[in-house]
Amino acid sequence: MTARGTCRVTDLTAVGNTARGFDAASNDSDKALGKAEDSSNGARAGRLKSVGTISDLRLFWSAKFGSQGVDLHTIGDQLVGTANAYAHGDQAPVDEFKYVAPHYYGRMRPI
Amino acid sequence: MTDFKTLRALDPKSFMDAAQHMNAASDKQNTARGDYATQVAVPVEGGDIWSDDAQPDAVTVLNIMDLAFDTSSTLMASAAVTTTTLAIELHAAKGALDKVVSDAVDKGLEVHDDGKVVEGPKFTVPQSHGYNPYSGSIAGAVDLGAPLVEEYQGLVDLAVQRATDADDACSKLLQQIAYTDVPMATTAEPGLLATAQWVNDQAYQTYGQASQLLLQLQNQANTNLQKYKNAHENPVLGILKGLWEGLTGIWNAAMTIASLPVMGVEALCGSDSAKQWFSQLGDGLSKMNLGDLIDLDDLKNGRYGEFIGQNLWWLLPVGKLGDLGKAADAGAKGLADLGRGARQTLADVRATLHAGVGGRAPIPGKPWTGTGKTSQQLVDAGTAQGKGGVPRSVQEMDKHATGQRGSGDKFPPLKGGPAQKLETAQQQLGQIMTNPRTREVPIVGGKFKGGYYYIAPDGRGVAYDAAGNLQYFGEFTYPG
Repeated sequence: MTARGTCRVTDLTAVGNTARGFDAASNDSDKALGKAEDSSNGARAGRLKSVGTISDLRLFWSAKFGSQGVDLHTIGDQLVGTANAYAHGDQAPVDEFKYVAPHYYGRMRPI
Repeated sequence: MTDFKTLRALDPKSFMDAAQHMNAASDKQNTARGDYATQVAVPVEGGDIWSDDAQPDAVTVLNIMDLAFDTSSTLMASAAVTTTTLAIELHAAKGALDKVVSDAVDKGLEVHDDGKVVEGPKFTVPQSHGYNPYSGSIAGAVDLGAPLVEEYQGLVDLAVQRATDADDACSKLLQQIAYTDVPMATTAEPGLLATAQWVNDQAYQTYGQASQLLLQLQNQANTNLQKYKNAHENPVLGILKGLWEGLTGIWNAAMTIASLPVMGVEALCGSDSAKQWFSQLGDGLSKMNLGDLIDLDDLKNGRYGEFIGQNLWWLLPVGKLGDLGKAADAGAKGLADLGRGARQTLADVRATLHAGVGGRAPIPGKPWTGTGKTSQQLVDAGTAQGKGGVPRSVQEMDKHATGQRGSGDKFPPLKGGPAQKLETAQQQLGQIMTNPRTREVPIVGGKFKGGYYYIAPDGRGVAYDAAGNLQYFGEFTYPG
């Protein structure tokens, strides 16, 4: 929870919506890397190990770009969420960006 | 390791294509970074649209994501440069191997699918001919290949070794790039911003490594060639001419292109001296037999912009960071700094190229192409005294301010005393000169021919003569 401040609701909502759309950049990057993998596979490269490494690169970075896209969209949601909280007149809007350490119970607690 | 059969069948151009796509991935991240900064981060960080105890957490998150864009872009650029290096080295190795095999066959040798060079079928001179012109003996088997088998086998091995070395080194660096974790967040996890900054430094270091790899591999190939020379009594080296050495052309190209922000597009592509320089560059790069791998035809046919556009992203860092001695002295941190420097140069050159003929976006702190003066110097020129000791900017603004003439309303009214008028005029000048989309357009006729217009996107403009003196304000059609 946080103390109430100031917010231009319309502007922050617009920024949040814009922020949501940046997940397209992650998708585009992933697609470009997919084309790189296709080209490399077309090299008739037989025993060249770089071909396998480029496939690994695509695989791992596909996950990274996927994660980036989700995070970018979530950040947009959080900005819009913050604006909504102000719009609804909440006295103490929730801090959407606050880090909360994971809770551990019983045996799950790290030693 | 790779093998003879793989190298014979290989299409190195496919790796060049792969590298172009990786570079596209890098560009998309880089573009997104700039847009994210102006459209999301700056409005939130500014505090105008939202301010409370929670806003600093959002700023931390946005900074982490900003670094994630930059780190990803830098690593994708590193992968692209590494893959280009692979393409060039494989191209050299394959080109050498194909020539060696062809030459060996011409000499009567056979090269098997496993890369083993053997003597071909012996030519037998029938007894009836009596005299064997090759051996000098009277009749019998003619041994054409024996003295050359070892020499050619050495060359075949050399080419396969070059491909193997390139494959090993590039695969290792690509693996490092594949496994690098890029910190991202939706909440302000303590310490994560510092980690993101550290990973960002590592990414630039990787970029430095990638940019130097081509030179390292070429040095290694030359060392192996020397070993071959030492090990063979009569090494057959003519076959490799032009295929084995010759990074000089790339460095020269990179160095000249790197000076683009100073030279400007028109100077680079339009002048006779530039055309002559490009012709020399084409000849130099031709010696490397890079052929269609880097679209040399564009260069040869005078399509300089297309050649640069196709190759700039790898040519520049490889050329700038190819100096192994400088990098060895720099150490890891220095290498990261060099990597940042190369990326900035690349961005500057691209900004110059994208502006097109007829003007360019100003790079803060750097001179404009036409007048050779910085934006600040041109703004300061407005305070020079004109007739009656009145500053030039005030004098000229007085003619174009709203209400002074029958038409035009892009400039505000000029009111108040001398100090206020000067402030208004200089403010207008500053707004025109510092707008990132302002264009510099040559004045091709009239009294101020040789000078330049500076035109802001809203049409407000100012004209300077060839010496950089402010001449007049006006309303112009923005050139786009």
